[in-house]
Amino acid sequence: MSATATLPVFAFDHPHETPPRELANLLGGKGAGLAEMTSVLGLPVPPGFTIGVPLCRAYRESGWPAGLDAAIAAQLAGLEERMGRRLGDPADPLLVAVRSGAPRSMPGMLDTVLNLGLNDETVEGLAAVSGDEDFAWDSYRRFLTMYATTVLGRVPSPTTGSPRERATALRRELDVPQDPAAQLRGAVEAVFRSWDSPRAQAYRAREGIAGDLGTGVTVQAMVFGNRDAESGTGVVFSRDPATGENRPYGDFLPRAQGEDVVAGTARTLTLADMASLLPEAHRELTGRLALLERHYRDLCDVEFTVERGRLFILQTRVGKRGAVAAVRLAAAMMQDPAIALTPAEARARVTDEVLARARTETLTAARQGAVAGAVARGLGASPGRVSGTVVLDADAAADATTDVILVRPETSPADVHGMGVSVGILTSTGGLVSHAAVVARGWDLPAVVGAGELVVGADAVRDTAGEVVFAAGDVITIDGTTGEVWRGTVTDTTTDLSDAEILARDLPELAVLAEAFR
Amino acid sequence: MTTPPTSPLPVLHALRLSGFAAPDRVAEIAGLDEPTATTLLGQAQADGLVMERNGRISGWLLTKDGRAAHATLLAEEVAATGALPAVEEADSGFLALNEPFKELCSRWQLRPDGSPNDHTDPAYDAAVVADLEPVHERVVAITGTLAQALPRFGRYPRAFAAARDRLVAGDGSAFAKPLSGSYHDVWMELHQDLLSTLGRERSAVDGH
Repeated sequence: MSATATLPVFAFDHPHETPPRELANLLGGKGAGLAEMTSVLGLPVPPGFTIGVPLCRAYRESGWPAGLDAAIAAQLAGLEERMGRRLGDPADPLLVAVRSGAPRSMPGMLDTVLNLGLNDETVEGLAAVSGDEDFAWDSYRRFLTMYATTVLGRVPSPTTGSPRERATALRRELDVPQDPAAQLRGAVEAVFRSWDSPRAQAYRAREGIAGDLGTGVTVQAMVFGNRDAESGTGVVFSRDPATGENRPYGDFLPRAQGEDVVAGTARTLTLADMASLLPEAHRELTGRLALLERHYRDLCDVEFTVERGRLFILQTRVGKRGAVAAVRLAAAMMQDPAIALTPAEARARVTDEVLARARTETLTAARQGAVAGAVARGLGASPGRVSGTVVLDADAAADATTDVILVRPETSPADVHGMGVSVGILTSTGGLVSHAAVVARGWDLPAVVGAGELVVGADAVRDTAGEVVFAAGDVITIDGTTGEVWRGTVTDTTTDLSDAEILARDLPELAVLAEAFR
Repeated sequence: MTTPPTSPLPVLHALRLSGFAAPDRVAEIAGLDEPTATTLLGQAQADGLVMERNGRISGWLLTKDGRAAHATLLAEEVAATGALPAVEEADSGFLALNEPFKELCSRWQLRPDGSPNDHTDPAYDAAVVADLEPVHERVVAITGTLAQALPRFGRYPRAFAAARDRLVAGDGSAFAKPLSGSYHDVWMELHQDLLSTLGRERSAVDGH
C-alpha cells in the first residue's frame, strides 16, 4: 500500500462512506463543505483536494509528516490531469488556492494564498494564454504579496507602476520560492503553523475551542474572475437576508477576484446587472440557488466566480440573517412545500431572543418617525419618552426647580449629581456602553446618546452648520427607545395602533410562528 | 513622605474620583473615619476648595479652585513617590478591560433585544456575573500590584470585592447603580484615579 493511501488526503469527490458534511473533524469545515458540494450536490466546484485535520496535529507534534510530500504529489497529479494544466508549466500553468479550514470556523488563521504556482516563467505563460499581460502580472503581484504576508510573515513595501513593474519590484524585495512545489509546501506548512498564531489562540480562548484540534488545508484549482470581460465574481444569498423577501440578493463585480468583493474596495453591481452582462451564468446561478435551498432547507449564502462565461461555485453556507428576516424565512419555509420546515426545526432557528428582537425592531421602525419633526437622532440608550427644560451643565441641573433634561457632549463622574436629578439625558458623543448610557439605565432615566449632528456649547446646542437647534431653558422631548429628539413637548399621537395591531400589519409571520410553536 | 493629617488631599481626591458624594462616601473613599472626613471637608470649604450642595440631591463637590488644588497636590505626591511608571502600566492594563467591562454593564442592564433587563431570568443574569469574573480577577490583580507602589490604590481590590460579593449575594444594584458603591461606581473612580494621577484628562481612548 502506498503512503498516499494511508494518509488522510482526499480529492473533493472522494467517495467517503459518511456524508462529507459530517466529516468536519476529518476534513475541516471548508474541506467538508467542498466535498459535500462536489460529490453530493454535484455543483460546478473548481476541483481540488483536502489535507485532513489529523495531519495538522501530526505536524504540530513532530514536524512535517512522513509521506505527506508524496501524498500531495499524487493528488496534484490527479488535479493536473483533470484540469488539463500542470503546476509550473510555463506554457499554460495550473494555479491553485491554498486555504485553511478548521472543524469550526476560526478567524485569525492563515486564510488564503491565491495564484500559487506563478513564478517568473509561468507568469509569461499565463500572459500568453490569457492574452492579457496586465492580468497575469497583476495575479503574480497578488500572489507575491499574499505569500509574503501570510507565509513569510513580511509586509512588502508599497509599489507603483505597471503590474509588471510592481510584481518585479516585489520579486526583488521578497524571497518567495520559484519552484511551485516548494511554494505549495510552504503554504501548507504556513496553514499548519497559523493554527498556533496569537490571533487564532486568542479567538479559541474566547470561543472555548480546544487548542489541540488542528486545521485542514484545501488545495483547489484557481478559476479567474478577472480573466476577461466574460468573467467576474460575487456573493449571493438565496433570499434577502435583511428583509426575508423571497428573491436572490447579492453583489457582482465584473472582471475581479473574490477579495475585491469582500474587501469592499470596488463598487459592486447588482444581480440584475449580472443578468444583463452574463445571462447564461446568471440563469445557472439562480437555478443552483433554488437547489441549494432545498438541500439545506435554509437560506444559503454562495460565493461564485464566472470564468469566460462559465459559472463556478466556490463556497456555500447557510446564510446569516437579521431577526425580522429570520422570522419571515421560518414562516415562509414552513409553508413552502419544497422545504416544509417542521415547527421544531423552525423553533431551533427562531429562539425567544430572535422573536423578541424582531418584535422590538418592527415596533421601533413603526413608531420611529411616527411623530414628525425630530430635530436630531441618536442612539436610544435607555428607554422611555420624556420632556423637560434643557440644562447644559450638571450644576444647573442640580439647581433647577423644574423637570430638566441634561444635555452634554458626554458625561463623566463630575456630572453624576446633575444626572441624578434630571428626567432625561442627551449626549452628542458616545455609544450604548458610554458612561451616560450606563448611569441613565442605572437610574431608569430615559437617555439618547451619540446624537452626532448636535454640537453642545456653553449656552446652546447647534447643528454642525452652527445654527442653534435649541438653547438652555428651551423645552425638548427625547425618546430613549427610538433615539429621537424634538423641540417642545411631544406626545405620541401616532398611533391609535396598539403594538399588536402594528405587528399584525408589519410582521404577521410572528403570529404564524407563535401559533406553530404553541 | 507621609501626608500630614491636615492635608485636604484625601477628601479632595475622594471628591475628584466620585464627582459628588456625601461625607460617608468621602470617608470611605479617602480611607478616613467620618468625623475626620467631615472636619477636613469643613476646612476645605473655608478655603474655597469644596462646596456642599443641599436640595434635590445633597452632597459635596469640588470647586474650580478645589480642582486646581487637587491637581497640584496630587502631582506633588506622585512625584515624591516615584510611582509614575507603575501607574502607567496599571493604566494600560485597565484600558484593555474598560470596553469589555462597559459591555458587561450594558448586558446587565439591557437584554439582547434592547429591552431593559427586568432580572427575571436568573440564567441570563448568572451568565453576566460569570463573565464579570475574569475582568474582576484582572482588575484586582492590576490594582493590587499598583498598591505596592502607591498604597492608596490598595482600597480598590477591597472595594471591587465588596461590590462583587454583594452582587453574588443577589443584590443586583451592586452592578451599576450610580452613587451607591456599585461595581461601576468603583470602576469609574479607578478610571478617574488613574487619569488624575497621571495628570491626564479623559480622551477618546478612555471611552465616553
